[in-house]
Amino acid sequence: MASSNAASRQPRHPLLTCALAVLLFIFIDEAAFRTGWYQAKVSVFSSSPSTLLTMSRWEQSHVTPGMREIAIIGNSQLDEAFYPPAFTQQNPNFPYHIVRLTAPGTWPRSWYYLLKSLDPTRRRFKEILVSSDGYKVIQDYRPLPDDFQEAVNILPLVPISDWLEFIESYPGWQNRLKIATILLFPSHAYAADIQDVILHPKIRLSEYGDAYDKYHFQPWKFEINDSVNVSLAGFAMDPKTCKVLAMPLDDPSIEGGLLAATTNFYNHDQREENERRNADFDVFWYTKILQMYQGSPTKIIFLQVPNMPAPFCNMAPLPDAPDIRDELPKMPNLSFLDPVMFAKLNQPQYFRDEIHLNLQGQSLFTAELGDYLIKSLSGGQS
Amino acid sequence: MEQAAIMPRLTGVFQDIFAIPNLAISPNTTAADVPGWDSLSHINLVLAVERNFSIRLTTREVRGMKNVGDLVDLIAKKAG
Amino acid sequence: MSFVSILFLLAAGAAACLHYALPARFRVAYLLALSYGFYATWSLPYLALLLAASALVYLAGQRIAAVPGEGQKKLFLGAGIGGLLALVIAFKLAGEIRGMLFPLGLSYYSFKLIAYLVEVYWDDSVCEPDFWAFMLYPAFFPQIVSGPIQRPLEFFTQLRRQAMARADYAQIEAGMRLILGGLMLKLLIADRLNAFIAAVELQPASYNHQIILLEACCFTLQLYADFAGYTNIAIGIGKLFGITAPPNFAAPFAASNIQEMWRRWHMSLTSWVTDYLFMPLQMALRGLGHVSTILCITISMVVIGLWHGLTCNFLVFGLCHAVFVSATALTAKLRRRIFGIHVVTRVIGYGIGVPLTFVAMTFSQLFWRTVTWANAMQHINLVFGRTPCGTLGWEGMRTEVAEPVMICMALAAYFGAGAPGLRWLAGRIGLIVPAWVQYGLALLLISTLTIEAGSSFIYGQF
Repeated sequence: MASSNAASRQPRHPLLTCALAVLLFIFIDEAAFRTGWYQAKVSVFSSSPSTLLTMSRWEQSHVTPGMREIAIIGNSQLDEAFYPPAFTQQNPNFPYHIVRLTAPGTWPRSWYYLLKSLDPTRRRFKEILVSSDGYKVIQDYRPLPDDFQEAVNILPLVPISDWLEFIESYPGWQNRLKIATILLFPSHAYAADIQDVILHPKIRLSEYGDAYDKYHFQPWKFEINDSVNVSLAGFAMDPKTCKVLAMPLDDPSIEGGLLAATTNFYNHDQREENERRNADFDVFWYTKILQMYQGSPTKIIFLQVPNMPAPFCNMAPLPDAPDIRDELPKMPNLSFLDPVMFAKLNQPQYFRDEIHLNLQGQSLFTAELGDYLIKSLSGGQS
Repeated sequence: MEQAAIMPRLTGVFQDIFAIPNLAISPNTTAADVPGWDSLSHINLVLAVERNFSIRLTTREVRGMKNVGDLVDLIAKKAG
Repeated sequence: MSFVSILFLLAAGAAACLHYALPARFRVAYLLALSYGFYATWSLPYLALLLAASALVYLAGQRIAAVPGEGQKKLFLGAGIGGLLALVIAFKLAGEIRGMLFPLGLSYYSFKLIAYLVEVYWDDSVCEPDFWAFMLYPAFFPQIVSGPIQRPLEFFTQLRRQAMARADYAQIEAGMRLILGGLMLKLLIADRLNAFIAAVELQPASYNHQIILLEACCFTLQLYADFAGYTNIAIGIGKLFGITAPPNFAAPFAASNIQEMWRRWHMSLTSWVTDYLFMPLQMALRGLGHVSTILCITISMVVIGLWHGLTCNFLVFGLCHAVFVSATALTAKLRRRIFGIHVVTRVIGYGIGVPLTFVAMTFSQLFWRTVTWANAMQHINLVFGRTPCGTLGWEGMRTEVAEPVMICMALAAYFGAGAPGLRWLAGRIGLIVPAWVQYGLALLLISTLTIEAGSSFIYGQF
């Protein structure tokens, strides 16, 4: 009876079947990944997308009204430099809530879409502190304009109305085709992560709960693993030849990172090309952030994160490198913190690898930035 | 040779070649219907038919056979 | 353009829509244009070769059908077959010795053309009068890259039928289902097993014996998943245009002896060799009894081996199977007497035969899959313990490569054994879940479970 019905049932028009199948695929795909459902279910640490998106979901649902929030936005360099819990502990009467928007592996493009999605009115934050790894751009080769991983990380933050602009921000038709594909089918972008969840379901699904409750997303570096708190005190380098004169640690991974940054790993013939590319990328996306906040009461304050002391060959900007302070639009609510504020931290003893501060450096930076926040916002209400 | 006379003799040949004592065949029987009838035993069948009916079959004729009925027609034609 | 690339599949789909939009009388020309266009994106000079070979065989076929005398027919047949074989052998040798690029699909379309000539020789009515329909036969793009090798009569009948009728929805949907299934077999199973094989091949001597044995089994399992997956996609694409190709696989791992396995593995090649080489040879040598059987089997198996490539490895592969199949053929009656008497003995027979057949196939794969003689010998020595194995186990490769291996092997073995129970399950599911939902979920699986690295088909190189 039922089976004979099935056998005599005429198949639909193939185009209709195809269309329905593809629509179902897109629907499930978008429902699982764009709404953040997938990111909500799996452990946070294992994937940068999860970090960024879980944080954004949390902050979206925990708004302190009345412009009483200070946003701190940047990548791991700022994330590990500034430790809000220490600041709020030392300054319990500080009237503003620090909103942590730093996530590892993110760049100005990510910060633009993150701010756009978290602050639709452009009146949520009193101040936004934006990280820059160097006002004068450094000349190492960075494929940031066509960074596919960044696209994967911020997929769900890009609303449909911005898809065209987002696709166009990638150079070349092949990149654009790839980006268009993952916008429509995010499951493909998350394939590696999904397969990891299938292979290790227990770990991935269980760790999430703790981390979310305790840290809201990525735990603070030194709270979970203080073995990373090493010091590069004793590291020395010849500024003229870029040769390493003394290496204090016996850790091959840290050593590798240091050597890669100090040797002439990158092609110096392409110095100007690299600088221009990095400057263009930074200026483009910082400008979009600034344009978003044009006419807004929110203050945008840039700060330059500490770096290992110059000359650090490829990581140090050259004196005549392009300076973003010259190229960004002038706006009344835009200011740049003087790099001299954190200059004393540009010492090997405060670093745990070539770009990240260690615990000592972190407390000094937090104290310094904290002092600035107190002084500049003293009086509370604006 | 008469078709009616061929069938019983052919049945005997089949039973012998495929070692199935009570095998019954009809004009519609094909290789799929007889266990053990594959490309390797096919040649044994052809040889046995040639021997039994004193005829000689060509590749073209063997190729053209689709079932036992075609074989019977072929034997009838050639055995005169 | 690879059959697994999204762009290609979308293009094929669009081409199929256009196919049915065109008036029926233009469809053959349209398919021809598509097929030649497809080939042209690969190589224009070799497209000229395909055109020339096809046209010459068309003329030869006409002559064979037209001339009255047997001797004259044989002349044109011999010239045609000789020419085509010379072409294949010349290019295979040029590839081995000079590194020259082998024409895409030459092994397949030359065999199609030989089949045509022999069929016309046996039966004049097979000769195809329509020149354009004929030219499509060797060039039909879903089948040209890696088969299946379809017979001329089957192809022309279907071509004529679909050129007259409107779209057969059931056939098209069956095609879509085959394409999805083939993609899953290839992308989700075959490519993962290939990643495992590639990891071991970096340093085979370092891995322990268990890994070496598993790798050998994977030679067979991965080849099945890869080629069966590809074949399903190819047959599926053909169905979109109203042409159903013959299958290449029918549960090969359920075979209880090697002879039966060859009837279920790469079926279009095996049946070609059986019909156009083995049987005529048998008829010619029929007086020699068992010797003739062994000789015919050996020649056929060696041809199957060498069809893949004129190397020592493929020759030995063919000889291995010559020995296996001969042994099977000569003991057929004996085995039937021992195992055939009762259902219990039959089950015991299967219990012994199925694994043994798999082992025999895997042994021969140690030559087939390892491209060079040295590599083959290395694997033989490692498998049989003549060279000591290393100590590296699963920890020697990345977790995302190592972890899925066992389940992928199990899946490949399951599908290779005919997927018992799947048809029943699919029937039950089909009652509540409409087809388009199944296809949508399949697309989701393909999207989320593919591995990163791009992959090529093993059989695309032949």
